[in-house]
Amino acid sequence: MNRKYFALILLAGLISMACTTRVSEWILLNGLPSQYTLVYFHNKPLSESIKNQNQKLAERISTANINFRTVKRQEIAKPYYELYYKDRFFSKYMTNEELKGLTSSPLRKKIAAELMAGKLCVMLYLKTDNDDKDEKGLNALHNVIASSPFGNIITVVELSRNSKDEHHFASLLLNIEDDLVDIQEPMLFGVFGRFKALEPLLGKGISEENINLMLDYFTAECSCLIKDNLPGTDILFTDNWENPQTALVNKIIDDNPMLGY
Amino acid sequence: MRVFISLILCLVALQSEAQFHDWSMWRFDHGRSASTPEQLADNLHLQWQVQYSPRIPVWDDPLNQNLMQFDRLFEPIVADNKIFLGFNDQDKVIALDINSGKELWQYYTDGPVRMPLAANNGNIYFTSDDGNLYCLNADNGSLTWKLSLAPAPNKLLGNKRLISMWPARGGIVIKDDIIYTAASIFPMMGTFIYAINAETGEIVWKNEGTGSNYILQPHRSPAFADVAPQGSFAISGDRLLVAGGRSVPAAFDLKTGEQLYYHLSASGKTGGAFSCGNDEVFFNHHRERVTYMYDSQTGLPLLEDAGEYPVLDGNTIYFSGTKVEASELDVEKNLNKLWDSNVSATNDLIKAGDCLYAADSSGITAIKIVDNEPQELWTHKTEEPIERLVASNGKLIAVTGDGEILVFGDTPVSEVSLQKQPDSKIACLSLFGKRIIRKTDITSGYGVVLGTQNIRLLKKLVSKTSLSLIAFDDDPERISYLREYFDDLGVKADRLSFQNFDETASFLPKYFSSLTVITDPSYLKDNDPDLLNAIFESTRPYDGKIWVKARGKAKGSLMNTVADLDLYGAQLSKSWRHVLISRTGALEGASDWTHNYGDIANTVKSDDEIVKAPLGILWFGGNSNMDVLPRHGHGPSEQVIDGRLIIQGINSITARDVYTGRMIWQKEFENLDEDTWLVYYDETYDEENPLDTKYNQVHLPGANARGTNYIATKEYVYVIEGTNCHLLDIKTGELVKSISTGDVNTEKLGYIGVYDSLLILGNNFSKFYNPDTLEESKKQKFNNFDITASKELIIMDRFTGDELWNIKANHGFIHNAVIAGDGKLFCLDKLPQNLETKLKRRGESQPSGSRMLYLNIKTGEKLHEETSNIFGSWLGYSSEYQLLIQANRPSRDMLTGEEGKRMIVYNLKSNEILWDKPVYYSNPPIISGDKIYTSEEGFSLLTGEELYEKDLITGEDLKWNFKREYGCGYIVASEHLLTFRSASAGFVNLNASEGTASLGGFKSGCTANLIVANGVLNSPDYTRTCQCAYQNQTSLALVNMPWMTYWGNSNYKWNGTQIKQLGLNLNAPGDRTSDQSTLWLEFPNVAGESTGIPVKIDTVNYYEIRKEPISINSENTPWISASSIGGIRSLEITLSKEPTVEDAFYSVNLYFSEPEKMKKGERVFDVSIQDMKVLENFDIIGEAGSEDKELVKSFPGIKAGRTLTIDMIPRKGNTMLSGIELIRESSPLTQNQ
Repeated sequence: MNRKYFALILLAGLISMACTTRVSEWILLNGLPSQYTLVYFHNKPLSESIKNQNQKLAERISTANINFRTVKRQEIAKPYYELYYKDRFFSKYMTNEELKGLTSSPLRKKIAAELMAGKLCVMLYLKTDNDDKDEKGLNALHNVIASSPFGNIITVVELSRNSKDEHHFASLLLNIEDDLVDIQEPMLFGVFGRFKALEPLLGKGISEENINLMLDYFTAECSCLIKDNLPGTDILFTDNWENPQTALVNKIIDDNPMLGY
Repeated sequence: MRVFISLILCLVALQSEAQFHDWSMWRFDHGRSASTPEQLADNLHLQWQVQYSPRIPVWDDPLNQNLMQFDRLFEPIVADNKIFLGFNDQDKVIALDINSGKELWQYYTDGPVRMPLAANNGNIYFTSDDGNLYCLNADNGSLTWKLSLAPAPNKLLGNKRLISMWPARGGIVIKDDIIYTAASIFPMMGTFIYAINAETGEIVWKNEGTGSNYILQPHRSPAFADVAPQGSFAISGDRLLVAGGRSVPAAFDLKTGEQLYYHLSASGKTGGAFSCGNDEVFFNHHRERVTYMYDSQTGLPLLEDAGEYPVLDGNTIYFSGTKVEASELDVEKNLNKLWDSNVSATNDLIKAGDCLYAADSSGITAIKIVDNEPQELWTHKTEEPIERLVASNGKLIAVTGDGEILVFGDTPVSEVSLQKQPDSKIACLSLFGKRIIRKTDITSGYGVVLGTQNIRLLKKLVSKTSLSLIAFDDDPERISYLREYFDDLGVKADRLSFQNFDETASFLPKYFSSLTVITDPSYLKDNDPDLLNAIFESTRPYDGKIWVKARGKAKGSLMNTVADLDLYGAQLSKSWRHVLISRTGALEGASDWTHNYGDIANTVKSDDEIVKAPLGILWFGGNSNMDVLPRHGHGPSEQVIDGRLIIQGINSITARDVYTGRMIWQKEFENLDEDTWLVYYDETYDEENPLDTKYNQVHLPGANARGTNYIATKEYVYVIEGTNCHLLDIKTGELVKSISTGDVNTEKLGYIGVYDSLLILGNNFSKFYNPDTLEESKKQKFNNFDITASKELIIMDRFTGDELWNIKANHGFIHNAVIAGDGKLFCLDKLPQNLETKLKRRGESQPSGSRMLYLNIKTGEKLHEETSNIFGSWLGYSSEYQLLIQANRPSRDMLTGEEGKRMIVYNLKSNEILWDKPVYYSNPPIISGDKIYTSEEGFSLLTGEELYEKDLITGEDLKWNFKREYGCGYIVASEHLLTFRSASAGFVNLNASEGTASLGGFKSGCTANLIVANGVLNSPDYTRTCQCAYQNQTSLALVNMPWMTYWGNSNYKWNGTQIKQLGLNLNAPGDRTSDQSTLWLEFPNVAGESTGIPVKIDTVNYYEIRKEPISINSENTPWISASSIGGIRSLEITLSKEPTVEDAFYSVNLYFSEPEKMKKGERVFDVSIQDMKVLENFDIIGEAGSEDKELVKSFPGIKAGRTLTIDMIPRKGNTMLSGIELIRESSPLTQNQ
C-alpha cells in the first residue's frame, strides 16, 4: 500500500474516532464518493473501432468516481451513452465527442484544490445570467461571508448555468434535484468533502438565514447520523484526495470559544 | 487336506484383513482427506441395507443448513468390522455388524448426538448437545469414561431440545491419541476448546480464553465475540482448525491450544463448517459444495472457488462436482490440473486405494486411476440419491438423504436384507393422563414429567398431545430402560426424552414448561422450598400448570408450603387426587411491547424491570427467519404481549412463544404482500436464491417511514390488509373479524394504533407528490413520503368496529407522530420534513394548515392546537411528567430530511413550551423517566441539558455517552438496558458506567429486534437475506443470569486529574464496573482505544492466562480473577498528570487466583507497594486451597502521589496477578511537582 495512502487512512481513522470532528473535515477524510455509471447502449456487436474508442474512454475516466459498461439493446435505433448516479438517470449523450470534459474541468479542479487546502466549503453560485435575479442572492452570500467567523475559510465561485466550458459541471449540478433544470433561478450549492454538493438554496431561498444554516451544518460536530447518511450528491470528478491540508475550521473554533462550539 | 485349505483360507482372510483400514473418523482421518489406502474389490455387490428415518438438521434456514451440514445425514465411521452411527433424534450411538447389519449395541445420551463420531484404539468417542464427551468400549458399548466439556450442568432449550447451555458441537478429531473438541456455540456464554488424552480422558490443554476476544466482526466492526466452535475440527500440519459454524475456521496451536488466527471479518461472506486439508493448505465451505482454498500457516485465502468438496491424497486433490477433476498442489501452493472425468460426483467423492467412488442423485460410480488416468469401473444405480460414501473393512457404505444405509461387499448375497425401524404407534388408555389433559387443557408446548413409573401416562401424553416432554427419574437404570422402550416404539426424543433427576433442579430452564406433571410427590423432597421454587420458575408464565399427584395429608402439606412461598402469580386448586398449581399472568415486573416503539406513546422503551445484565441465553433456534421480512427493508419490530411474540413476514403474521421460541400460529394472508411490497421489501429481494452471496434486499426506510401496519393486543392482532383491518385471535391466529372504514373512497389504510378500547386507523395515505412524478419518487426509496402519513384518522371501538369520530388532515397525519396518552390523541398534521425544508431552501412560503393537535381521544374534541414551531416527524409522550416531545425521527435508513437537529418539549399542564433547543441526535428520542436517550448520548427530559454522570475514576462530572459500533437498527430501551446492534448484538447497562457490551455470537436485526418484554430480551432472527459469517444466525431469548459474564468497551478517556478509584483487570478482554463502582479497565488495552492512563510494566518471562469467569470460584468478581498476567516484576500506575499533585491514601486490593496446575510451594513471591512489603512468601494455592479460586488481599493506607508502584519478587516459580484496585481513602495532601 502506498505509504501516503496508508498515512491518510490512519489519519482518517484517528480523526474519525475523535468526538469533535467537524462535518466538513470528516467527510473530506472519510466520505468516499459514490460512483456514477456511464453506459454505452448499442444494438449490434461492437466493432473493433468502437471497442477501441470505448477502451480509450474507459481509460480516460478511470480515475474518476465513475464506472463504464456497455449494454446491448435490440430495440434501440442507434448507439448512445447515458449517465447514472445511484440508479438515477442524469444525462444522455449521442456521441463520444459529447463526453469530453465529463469528469473534469477547470472550475472543478479549482474547487477541489480549495477543499484540499483545508477550506470549510466552497459556495458555488450558479447564475442565470439575468443580473437582476443573480444580484440579490449574491449579495446575501457576500454579506454572510463578511460577517461569519468562518468567512476566510469559505471560497465563493460563480458559474453560469449556460457556460460552455463548464457545461458538464453545470449539468451535474442541475441534476441534483429532479426539477432544477426547469427552474430559471440562481442557485447556491454548498460544496464540501470530496466534492459533495448539498441540495441548493434557490431564488428567494438564497437568504442569509439559509446560508448560515448551511454553514452551521458544515461546522457542526460530525454526528453518527451524518456519518451514516452522508448528505449531499457526489459530483463527478477525477479523484485525487490524498493528503488534504489540515482543516482550517478547527483553529477558528479553538481560538474562539465564544462561538459556542 | 481340509485343514490345509482352511489354513489357506484363514491366511487369505487375515492377509486381506491386514489390508483393511478403519474409517475411524469423519472423512477418514484428521485432515478429513476422504482418502483411505484400503483397496476395495473391483466388483462390489449390495449385501444389506437398513432404513432409518431421515435426519432433521439442527438449523432451520436454508443458508444455515447449507453452511452447517454436520447432522443432515448419518455420518458412519468404521472400526473393527463395525459401523457406528450417531442419532440426533434418538440421542444415541449404535454399532452395527459390518457384515450383517445386525445391531450390536446402543448407548443413549442426555442430548442429541449431532457431530460425527471417532474411533481410536478400541474406543468410540463422540460429543453430544448434552455438553459431554463420551468414550465407549467399541466392542460392547459400555461407558469407559465421560467428560463434561461444559463448565456447569445448566440446561436450556436449544434447537427445540433440552440441552446443555454449552452444547458440545466441536466435531472430534484425533491425532496421536489426542482428542480435539469443544463445547459452546455462543462466545457470550464462553467457549471451551480442548485437547484430551484419548485413553484417560485427562485434559491436555483447555482454551477458554478466546471466546470474548474483542475482534472485528463482519462489516469490519468490533465486538466481544471470537470463534464459536461448531462443526468437525480438522488438523492441518501443526494447526488445529476449529470449525466456526458459519465462518472460515480459526486455527489453534495443536500443542499448546494458543489461538493463531481467526479472520472472521476479512473472510466476508464466505465460510462454513466443512473443512479439510493437508499439511499446507485447507479447503473450507463457501456455498452449496464449493470450497475456497486457504494457506494453513496464515489462514489467508489462496484460491476462491477452488472446487467442490475435495478428496486429498497428499498433494493430489480430487474435486467433486458435475465432473471429477484431479489437480496437483505445487510447492508454490498453486493447483495444477491433471485430468478430469465426466463422472458425476455432485453428492460425494471418496478415494479408496486406487479407486475414486463418486455419488450423485442416480447412484454410485467407481473410477479406477490407472497411470494417472481415470477409468470408469462400474456404476450402481440407486432409487434414492446417495449422499455419503465410506470405504472401510472391505465394504463400501453408502448413505441416502432419507436415512438409508447401504453396504456393498466383494461377494454377492442371495438375498439383500433390509431392516426397517418401526413406525410410531402408541395408543394407550390412561385415565390419569386423560384427566390431566382435560383439566389443564394444555396440549402443546414443552412439558415435564417427574417420575416415570406411569408408562401409560407417558404414552397418553405423547399420543394425545403435541407436547415435547422431558421425563425425569432418579433411577438411571429405569431411564435406560425407558429410553430403549420408547425408542423401540418409534417415539422420537423430541417428543419424549428421559433425563436424570437432579435435586438442584439445574436441569430446568426458566419459564419453559407449559405442563409439569409430578407423578410421584417424593420428587418434591418433602416439599423442599428451593425445589418447589425451581419447578415453579421453570413453569411458563401465562397459565403454565404444575399437576402434582397427591392425596390426604401430603396434599394439604403441599398446599400450605406453596402458599407460604407466596409465589408470584401462583394459583392453587385441588381435587381428591391432585394439587394443581397455575402460574397465572405475567412475571412480576414484566411488561409488554406493542406498537412499533413499545407503546402508543412512542416512548421507545419497555417498562420491563426484570431484564438486566448479566444476560444468558434462555433458548435459541427452533424457528425460521423465512417467516420474517427481509432485514434491510426495515419491517416493523416484533411486538410482545402476554407471552407471545408477534412478527410479520412478507405475506404473513406469526405468533411465537416468548419463552421457548415455539411457533404458536401462523396466519397467511391473501394480499398482505401487496401492502408490504415497495414498503418493507422490493424488487431487489431475490427470494429464489437464499444461498447466493448476492441474495439481499437493498436498504429501505420501511417502518422507519411508514410505521407499523399491525398492532398486538391482549385479545387480537390488528392487521391492515388493503382497505381492511383484520382482527386475528391472539391465541389462535384465526380471523375473527374484519373492520373497514365504510368509506367508498378508501383505497388503503395507513396509520394504525390502539389505545384502550379504541382503534385508530389512517384512512388513505396522503399524496404529497404529483401523480405524474410518483413513479420517479418511488424509485428514490428514501423520498417516498407518500407512505408516511394518512389523509384522515378514524377512531373506532376496537371490538365492534363502530366509528366514534374522525378528523381530516390539512396535509397529512405523520404516522410517527400520531400518539396517545392520558386520554389524549396527539398528532402532527403537516408536510414531511424534507418537503418543508425544500420549500425553505427555495424561498417559498410554508403552506398554511400545518398544526399539532391535542384531541380528546374518546370524543375528538380539540383540546389544543399549535400552529407555530411546527416541524419534524415525531411525537413522544411522557405520561409520568405530562410532557410531549416534538422532534424528528432520525436513524440509519431514515427518510431523507429527517436529521435530528431540534427538539421541543411541551408541558401539557400549561400547554406551553418547556424547552426548545437545537440538539443533534440520530435516534428516535427514547423517553426513560426524566431522561431522553438518543444515539450514544442523552438529555434531560425536563431541561434539554446533556446528561452527565460521575467519572468513576476521577469523581468529576463526565458527559454521559457510549460508543456504538456498526448496526443499522435504532436503539431501544428498557428499565435497565439500552439494546441495539453494535457489530454483534449489544447493550448498554444503564445501572453501571461500563460502555457498550456485546452479546457475542449472533447478529441482531436491522430492524430494532432486541426487545425487552415479558421478562426476557427477545431477539427473533430479523436477519433474513444476511449472508455474513456471524457465528450464529438464529432467534434467541436472553434472561438475567447473575453468574454470567459480559464485557464492555467503556470508551473511557482519562483527563489526567488525580485518580480516586480504579481497577486494572489484567489480561481481561474488556471493561466492567464492580458493585463497588470501581471501573475495571482491561490491561493491556485490547478493546477499543487506550484510556490514556499510563501504566509501566516490567516483566520477566511474561505470559498471559485467561479463563472463563464461570470457571473461577468467586463470590462476586470471577471476571477479575479469571485472567492473569505472569512474570510481573514491577508495575507503575500514573495517578495524576496535573502540575501539582497531592499525596493521598489509597486502599489497594490485589486479586489473585492460581490458573495453572500448581502445588503448594511451587509459586511463591513477595509483593511490595510503594516500596513497602505487603506480602512475603505469598503462595496463592497455599492460601486459596485450590486452583481457580479467587483470593483478594487488601492493603489500606497506601500513600501515593503522582504514581503508585507495585513490585513483585519471585521466590519460587513466577509471579501471577489478576487485578489491582485502588480506592482513595482520604483527602489529598498537597505535594509539589
